[in-house]
Amino acid sequence: SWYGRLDSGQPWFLFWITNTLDMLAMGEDVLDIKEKKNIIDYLKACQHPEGGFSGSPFMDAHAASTYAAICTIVALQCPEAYVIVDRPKMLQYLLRLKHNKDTKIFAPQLCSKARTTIPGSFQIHENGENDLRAVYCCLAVADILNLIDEPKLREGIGDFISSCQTYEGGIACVPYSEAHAGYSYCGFASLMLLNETEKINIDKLLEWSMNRQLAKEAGFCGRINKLVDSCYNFWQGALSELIDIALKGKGNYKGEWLYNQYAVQGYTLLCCQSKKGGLIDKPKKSTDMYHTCYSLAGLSIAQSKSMYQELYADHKYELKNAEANSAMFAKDYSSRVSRVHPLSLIHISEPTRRYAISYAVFCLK
Amino acid sequence: YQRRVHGDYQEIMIKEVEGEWAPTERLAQFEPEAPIAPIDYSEKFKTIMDIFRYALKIDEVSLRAYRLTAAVISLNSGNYTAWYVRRKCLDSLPELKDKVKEEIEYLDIIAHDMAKVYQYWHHRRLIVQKFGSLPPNEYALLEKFHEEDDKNYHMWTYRMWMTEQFHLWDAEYKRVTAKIEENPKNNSAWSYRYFLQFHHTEYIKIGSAEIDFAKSYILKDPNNESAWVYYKGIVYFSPSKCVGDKAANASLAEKFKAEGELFCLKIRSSVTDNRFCRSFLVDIYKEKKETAKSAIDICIELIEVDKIRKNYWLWMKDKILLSFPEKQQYEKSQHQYY
Repeated sequence: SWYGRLDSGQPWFLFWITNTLDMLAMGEDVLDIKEKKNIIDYLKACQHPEGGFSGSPFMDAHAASTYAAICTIVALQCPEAYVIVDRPKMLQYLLRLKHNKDTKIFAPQLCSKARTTIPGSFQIHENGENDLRAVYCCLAVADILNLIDEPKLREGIGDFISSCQTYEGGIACVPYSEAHAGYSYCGFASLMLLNETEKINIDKLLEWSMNRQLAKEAGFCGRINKLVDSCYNFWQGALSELIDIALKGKGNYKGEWLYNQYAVQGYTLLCCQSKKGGLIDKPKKSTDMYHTCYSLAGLSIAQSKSMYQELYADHKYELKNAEANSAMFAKDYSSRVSRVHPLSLIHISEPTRRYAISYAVFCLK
Repeated sequence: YQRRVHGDYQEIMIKEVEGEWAPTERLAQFEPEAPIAPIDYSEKFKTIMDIFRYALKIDEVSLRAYRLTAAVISLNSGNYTAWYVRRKCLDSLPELKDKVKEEIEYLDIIAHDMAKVYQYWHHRRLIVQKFGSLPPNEYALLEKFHEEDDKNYHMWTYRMWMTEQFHLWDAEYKRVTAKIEENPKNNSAWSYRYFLQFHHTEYIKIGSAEIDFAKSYILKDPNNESAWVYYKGIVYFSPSKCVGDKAANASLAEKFKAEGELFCLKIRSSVTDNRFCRSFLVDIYKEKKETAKSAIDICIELIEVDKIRKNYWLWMKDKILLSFPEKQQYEKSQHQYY
């Protein structure tokens, strides 16, 4: 029945599966042409005629499904996938979700298309709820498709995210709510994409985030006084790397992350592997694709050291001398997975495909 | 009991809904040649979804479409389009325009499965807003959710909205104080308290009392991170964000820092290996040249006391050293306890 609910979020399956396979395959192409074609056909059916992608064919478009669909398309690495994206319609869709100071709400009914009340935010679907996930999903898509410079899209977001930072130091889904790892990642990643990281207090965010690592369990939790969950390997671990990038390579200690990356690997490998295959939240939980994908992505970051100069300083994404820059738990390389990019999970062992897709799509339109 | 009743009710409801649509009024799921991750749908799920896709295609807004949404929601509460169609029906059909109270009752009945469903909370918010006042059953329902999971993020965010919408500040203050007493480590309750207190009240009026509140809980349990973070938040975060003259706020915050230092030193000497008092002291000491050495010394203590964050404290120590370069000579000296 958990999967039944995902019936309206099917691109997520594709995203979690393609990325997980990608990380395990260490650069090899795991999906064959036929499988890729099936995925492409399905995503084509999920694309809404008025822009964006839906959770399943025939439904309304949704920002999270759009994000999952676009990231899957990038992960497929083939022009047949890139070609399906309707870029002009996508921009219109994103602008419809965006709330600006001058967005008019006509006769606000229950089913009004525009119902947000916070300038600088996005709804997650038309007539839908408004929170930080939507901001990240929309900006990541805009960045990949080279639409992020559109002024009406960018307007006010930095200030909105700033207002979502709490007294705890982390970031909440709306102003005054509780600081939460998922929203902290979404908020800070969005600021990175906009190049506006000075809008929040990075020191406080870092302090809150590092304090989410639990001394006994060794993994991370998502909020103060809550329980460990392996998916936070990524939400917190990637946040740590993003902060390192924002601080221009000064957010690490002698190359190691500021959290205990060996402990996180230990927790994942020793406590979170299901006998049936796949990764789990914590012992006694059952496996699911979401945890498999994010625990693994977090593992990927934890297995690596900060390489700001090599990876980000000049936007070069070549991974030279991978082994020298790794930090393996118990020096065991057998559990090595592909290095992922903290902003979008796309693996970075070759020149980034973000630019490849935006160029391809731009040329075709 | 409610789940069993709902289960039986669901069977009946689905049969009735199916009966309202002709066998030709269907639209099948899109299936590529070989589905990548096929969901194992039950027969009733398939049928209802086939009807729903058809209804979407013809953009139907009607009483039978309204009943159909209830069936879809019962099978997949995450179907955001079904919730949207439901709202369209409530807005435009004369028979439903005034049925706001009935819609709230429906939401109350299905609540038991909806704790983590974004669409449910969003819909509820819109309906209650249309209702225009606090529904009589609202608190009872929130208490039920609270019993199930006292940290349910949706529930707390909804509660914030509700308080603001209906001006429930005073009553909610009493409730959150009780909730913190019930479970002092419920960070959601502390976060909600911050919202109630600091959202619209002047810092100089409540800063001191709220610090005393936090301190009382720290003394009960010096390992309660929620209380410590609340305390630090009042000192470092609130002055610039809170209502009131920023300069006056800042000067009051300095007074709080001086008091905080004494409080933390007391805890440090009476409670073994407490990382929170030390972390607070680092914050206080690292701001000034005169106390930078103390900040560094405590970072060194924290490397032992808070081992999992060793890299963070090493990094912090180096950062302080860099900002006060003349203190680097102390790097090699032994750490001293004050």
